Amino acid sequence: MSGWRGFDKATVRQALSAHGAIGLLAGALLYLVCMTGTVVVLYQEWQRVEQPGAPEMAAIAPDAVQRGMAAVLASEKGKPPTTHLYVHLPVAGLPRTTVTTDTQAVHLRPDGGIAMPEENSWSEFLLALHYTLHLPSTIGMTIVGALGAMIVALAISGVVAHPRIFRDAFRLRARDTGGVGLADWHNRLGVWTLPFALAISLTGAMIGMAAVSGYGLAATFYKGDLGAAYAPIFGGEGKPDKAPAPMPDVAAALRHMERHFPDVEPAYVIVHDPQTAGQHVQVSGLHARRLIYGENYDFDARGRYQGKTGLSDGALGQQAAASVYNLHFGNYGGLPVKIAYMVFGLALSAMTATGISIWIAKRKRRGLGHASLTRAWDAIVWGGPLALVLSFLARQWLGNGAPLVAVFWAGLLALLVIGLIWQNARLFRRALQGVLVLGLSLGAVGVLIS
Amino acid sequence: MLWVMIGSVMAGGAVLLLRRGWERVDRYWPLLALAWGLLVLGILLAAVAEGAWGVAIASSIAMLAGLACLAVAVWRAPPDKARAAERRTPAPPDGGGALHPGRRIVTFLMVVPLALIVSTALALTARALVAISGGAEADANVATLFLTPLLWGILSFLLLMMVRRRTQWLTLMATASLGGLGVLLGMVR
Repeated sequence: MSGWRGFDKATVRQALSAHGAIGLLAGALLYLVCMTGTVVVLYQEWQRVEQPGAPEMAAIAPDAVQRGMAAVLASEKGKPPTTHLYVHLPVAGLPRTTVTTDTQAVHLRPDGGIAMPEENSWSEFLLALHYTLHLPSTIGMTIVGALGAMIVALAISGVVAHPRIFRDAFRLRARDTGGVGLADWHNRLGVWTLPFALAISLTGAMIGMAAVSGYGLAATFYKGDLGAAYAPIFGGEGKPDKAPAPMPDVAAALRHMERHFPDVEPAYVIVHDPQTAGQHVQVSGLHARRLIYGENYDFDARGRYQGKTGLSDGALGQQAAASVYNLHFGNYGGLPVKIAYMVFGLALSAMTATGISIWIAKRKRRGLGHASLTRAWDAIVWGGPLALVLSFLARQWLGNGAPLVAVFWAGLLALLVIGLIWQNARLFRRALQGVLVLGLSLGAVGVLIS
Repeated sequence: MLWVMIGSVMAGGAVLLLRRGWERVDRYWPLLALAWGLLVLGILLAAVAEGAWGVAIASSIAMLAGLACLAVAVWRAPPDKARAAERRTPAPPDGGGALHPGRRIVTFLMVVPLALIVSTALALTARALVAISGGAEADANVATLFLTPLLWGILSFLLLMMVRRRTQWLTLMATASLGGLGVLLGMVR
């Protein structure tokens, strides 16, 4: 076993330099995306926490879904017609029936009656923070996607820069307060989350950078038609015909699913252009023990089956593209997989945090300026979660309309400013950690008494 | 499902064996070979039984086993001996103060926007090649979506590994030419 002895010293040195440069460039944003990604794994569960009083059910009858859809569309009479209507059907992670249109979202009772408006502003805020950093959609997603590509570069450079990374995979001098301890944490967490990091960074980058690559694809091969570029993968939109038409029969579609696809669990009903002559119905069904987010079963307005898109058994590219979302968010094995993803996400966040800390510690050992950098980085590492907890408390105390985006970003900015003013770095970090624990405790108490 | 569970146990057990093997000073290779073999076999078993889903589950178990070993290492770690402040590294010759902003901006432009454009062009070339070779349209399009960030990550790393600026420019130009040809090919078709 004495063949290849690893990269030469110059390569290792250059790889370490590249690793540092990419890490510094992505730094704080990468940490925020990893940290929020860890929390957003429980997206369905957060929705239940936010609105514990919403009606829950193991299943809902097709006729009840039909009544619910009719009631919601009736409530929108006189308003601009919705272009899409989604019915979220009860599934294990979120056993609720919710109808969403272009302008509202309401929960249904098991009999199909409208129960109450959906109130999940914190879950949506969290998802948007992870997806776009609250920037305009395309820009935000592209930046987050770019961070995914940077993780790929960091993973490659990290492996090249540490010749003993696999040999030392179990060596963790955890209590060394100098550079060795930090480096060990960074490298060990890095090596054991490497497959996870590559999987979520590539899938995240694919989702986030779809604007860039999708527009490139459309401009080069489809005369700029983005929809045409995605149609071979996810299926195309139907031909619109705005002439009025009666309500679509989604109950018939759901009954067809029960009869002909008993192993498929319907998760969504999507009505395209409801109550127009061009309307059609899609049922998104979950397939057990698959990574795909679902298969689209197409029906006409009278609920007659038209075929499926092929996400479950079509071209390999279709199946791969449909697997990207679940692989990224850990939605393919119930709560155990979600908990595993949270552990991995926490490790990835810690790795990101320690990466910058290693760089700061190196500056300190070289006698270069580090005090403000240390406090600013602490403000991000501990202040980021703290600002998130503050937004959660704001949601609990002020309700669904709380200004969550402002609370988070103003809170984080304030902590950064305090960090730059406060001279005692150790005390500042302790204060952040203490308030974070206090906030988490308050949030937990709030959840328990709600 | 049973085979995924067996495969996962094998993958998790393989991590424990690796730990055993790497702990030994003599690096007992039969043990390491057994560990790697078990890991590969476990994941293969899960793949054959349940496809990509099985691979994801078995890999997760292996990673959890590794993190559990780290948790044990944290528990057993001896208390700190050396103080960080006692260890000092000499500052670089320029005192670490020279930022070379111009050089860094050029590097940033090469590694971020230019490498992204080139990677997108290369991914579009891959799309054209898949289409020409008779692949499904969905496969061809997904290849672009998948390859754009992957190639960008790899190209960024390669550019940063190059010491000389000239080599960086030549690499960018060579890959850009290749990508440009692919885009042209796609447009012509």
